[in-house]
Amino acid sequence: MQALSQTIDARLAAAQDHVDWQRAEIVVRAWPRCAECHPAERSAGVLTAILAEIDLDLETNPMFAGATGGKPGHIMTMPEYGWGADGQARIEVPDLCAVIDAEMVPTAIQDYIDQNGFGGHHSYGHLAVDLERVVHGGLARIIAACDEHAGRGDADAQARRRAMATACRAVIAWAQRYAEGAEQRAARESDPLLAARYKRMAQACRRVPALPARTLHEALQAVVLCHLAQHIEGHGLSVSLGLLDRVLAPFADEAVGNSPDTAELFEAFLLAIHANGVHGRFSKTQCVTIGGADATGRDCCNATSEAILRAFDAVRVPDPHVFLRWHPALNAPVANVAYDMLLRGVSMPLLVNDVPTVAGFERLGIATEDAWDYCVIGCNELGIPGRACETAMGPGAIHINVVHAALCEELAPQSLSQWIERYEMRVEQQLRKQVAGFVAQRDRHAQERPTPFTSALMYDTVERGSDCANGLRYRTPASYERGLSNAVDAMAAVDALVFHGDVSMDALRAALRGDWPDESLRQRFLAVTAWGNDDPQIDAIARRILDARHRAGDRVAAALGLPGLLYCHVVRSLHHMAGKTLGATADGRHAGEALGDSLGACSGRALAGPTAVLGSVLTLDPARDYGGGTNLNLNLNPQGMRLDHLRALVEGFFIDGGQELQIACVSAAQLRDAQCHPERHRDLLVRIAGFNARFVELSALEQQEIVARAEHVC
Amino acid sequence: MTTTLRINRIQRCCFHDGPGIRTTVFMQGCALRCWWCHNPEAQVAGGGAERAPDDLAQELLRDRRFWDRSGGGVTLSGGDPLLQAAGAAQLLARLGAAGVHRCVETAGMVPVAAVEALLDVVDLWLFDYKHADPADLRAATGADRGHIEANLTRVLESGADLRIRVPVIAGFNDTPAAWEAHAQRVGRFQAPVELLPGHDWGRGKGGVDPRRCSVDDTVIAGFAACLRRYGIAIWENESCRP
Ligand code: SF4
Repeated sequence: MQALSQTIDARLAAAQDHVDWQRAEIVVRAWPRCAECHPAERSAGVLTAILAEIDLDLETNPMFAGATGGKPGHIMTMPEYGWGADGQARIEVPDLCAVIDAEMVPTAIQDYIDQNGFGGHHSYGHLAVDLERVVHGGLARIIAACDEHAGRGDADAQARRRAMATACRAVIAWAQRYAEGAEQRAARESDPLLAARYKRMAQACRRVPALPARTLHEALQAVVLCHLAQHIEGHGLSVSLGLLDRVLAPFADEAVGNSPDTAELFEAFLLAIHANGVHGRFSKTQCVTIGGADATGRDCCNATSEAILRAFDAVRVPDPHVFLRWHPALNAPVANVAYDMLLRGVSMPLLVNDVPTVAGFERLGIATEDAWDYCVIGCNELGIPGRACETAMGPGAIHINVVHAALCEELAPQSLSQWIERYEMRVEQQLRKQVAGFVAQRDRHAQERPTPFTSALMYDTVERGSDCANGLRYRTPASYERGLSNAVDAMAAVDALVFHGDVSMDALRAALRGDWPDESLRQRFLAVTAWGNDDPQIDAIARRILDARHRAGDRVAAALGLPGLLYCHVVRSLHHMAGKTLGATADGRHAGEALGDSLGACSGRALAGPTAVLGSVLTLDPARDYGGGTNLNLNLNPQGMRLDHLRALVEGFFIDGGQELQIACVSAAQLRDAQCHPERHRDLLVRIAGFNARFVELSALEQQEIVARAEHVC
Repeated sequence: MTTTLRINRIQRCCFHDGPGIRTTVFMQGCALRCWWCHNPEAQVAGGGAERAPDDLAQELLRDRRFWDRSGGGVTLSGGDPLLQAAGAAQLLARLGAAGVHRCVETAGMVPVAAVEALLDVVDLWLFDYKHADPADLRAATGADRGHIEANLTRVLESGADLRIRVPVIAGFNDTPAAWEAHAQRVGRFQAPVELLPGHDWGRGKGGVDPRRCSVDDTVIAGFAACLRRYGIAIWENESCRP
């Protein structure tokens, strides 16, 4: 890490978690002034007030202006949604949640929340704006476009367009505040190097994001300001940074050779994003996507791709995280940097394969050139910057829950086929309710809590006068799933031991109700070959489940007038949350235990090793089955493994159609050492399921899960 | 005539048993009784699962996509696969016809006919040479040095690709005197040598001898330096260094 980045990192690491009520206070004051306005104009008015008053932070990061609060460690407050700790944060960062829980909400703010709170803690996020228009067009051009289209459409469209222009002006004014602050700071600074940094910051903020960037620094500065402004506007988790290397391509010459200056720039940039105070230091999975090909098959890497990877390697922060888009002609030096990082146990980048991913989008009628612009917009969810951002949609079908409910119906299924039929019926009912609920919820966002600044950075929204919640170019609601491995294992075990074995259905159902009182019976269920062992018979069950789910999804989409549904199998910490409320299941799982942590085998059940896990997953059709994104954890024992082994594993999987890989090359011994000596392993980053974390900062529960996963590697 | 094979277990995605990513088939039965053996359950000829070579080949080929991209393939290990030479030859011929790279690990204490049966179907021999002193070798493993050397010579004469593998075991061959003797004896075969440090996983469990057999890096370095002085090339991390 460069010296400056070390300093910034140390400042962030030393920061105390604290709730920052400033944003909430401004909202409470500004809201009544805008109460009678169109909701979009009210949002823009509130954003204007926030950005005019919110404390600047010029001290933490002298390279880039922009912060969601005045001091590092702050937890930003968004009373127009609500207040409290996120459920996943309770699992991932319980100490941070203790700070949130201990905080007394000021009465005025609590009253405001009671009256106006939308629900939740923040807006939906899980989106990527079109950063090309931020960096190369500038907000002034968007304002001009709003003016140009001013009279078009109905009153609602016109009000939304006015709101977009107002919001863009607010962000420009915020940049000007930073410019002024940086000029004053430079004048006060006795260290000439630091003074020069502040001068550069001031110059950049005088220009961007209003006007097109002229340098790499200006481009990154524009990105920082507009990214954080989306959060300040209200978006919570997973506001993504799109295809960052493509956005920066015109400045690639500056990054050639990755000089210390370039390294410093990118490292400081990542730390500026890392310091984002939405929900404090809880990972917001702010995703950077790099690499990949365009619609002509041409590789899109440039000098910034490698610089971005190296900066991620140097700063080792859990959030933001980076995905590398793989395709057969991927730039070899960039691929090698990635493989080398993974081999060293960095747990980044995550890899996603262009061909099946693009095919997944094209299945839903998305134009080819748009589909090739896809990026990751969350933990693993996929979208298209500025055009399609609806893949993350809440509960979705938890396969094992549905399978379990179908097993526990009054009249138990008599065969696997009957069981799958009942599963299909249940999934259809569930999807019908959820997809309709999702569409309605997005409409409600657009009506009651529109985000005009974020909307202004999307395609078509200015022209249409629409909000990004429901007015993007493509509508791609998704079913948000997990627990496939548990479902397959349950069906495989019941098929072998009940439908074709000597265990009666009554005995099994009694065992499940009693949470497996007879351990020897449970062991028999666990002994049946599981999903993830490349066993054709077991893998066929997975396909039958997904065929059924797919038929159900198609019927639901047709009924709602949608071209189809995208499906995500995304876990993050939701496998813990879902497991907690689910009783014992026929895969041998005890009540309350976590579900499988990825699309691969359940923990401890991949007995044939990692290539067998890949073999099983390759029997799925990713474009159809998980076009909205998936996570596949692959744990490898680094002992004896070389870069060419790793490359062969990745290429073998991807060339045969695999979609996504999260590789972790960390040995159980290394992890156990980190448990005993956290001080020696502060930079040990691990991939959980949909997010990265510093291992030593994880809760004991999550640490144990990671160690167990590493232990089960052959 | 089809012969079946007795298999102890199959391990996919191995990085240690030859070039590239490999699937290693641990076969049942071994003529030796090395005290440090990690697979005592594989020593007896009768155990394990019975598999038809064709059916086994089909199963193994499931990892082909990874072999093809890493220069890997299948390694027969054990036990000693040469004790089931007929079935092994069928399996390897089947894999060879599919263009798969094939390794065989052997301790060499097998009938010479077994060696000959496999000469045409093995791409790389990983041939154990555990100790140069006949008495020490016999005491620790039960092996006959002369018999092993005759088989080793037979493989080399055939022109086959071969690597000599030496398990480096504490209290067995970890002294400079043993290295010196080893270098002198092995030097005559003109084959590269791979040193495999002993490890203590599973010691004392499931019939595994409780004595420590691991050695530290300095032993491996000393042994390698001694072999190099005799002009013997050393295999390390799948590359050969003179
Ligand atoms: S040669 Fe190998 S399998 Fe046979 S006893 Fe010795 S260590 Fe065990």
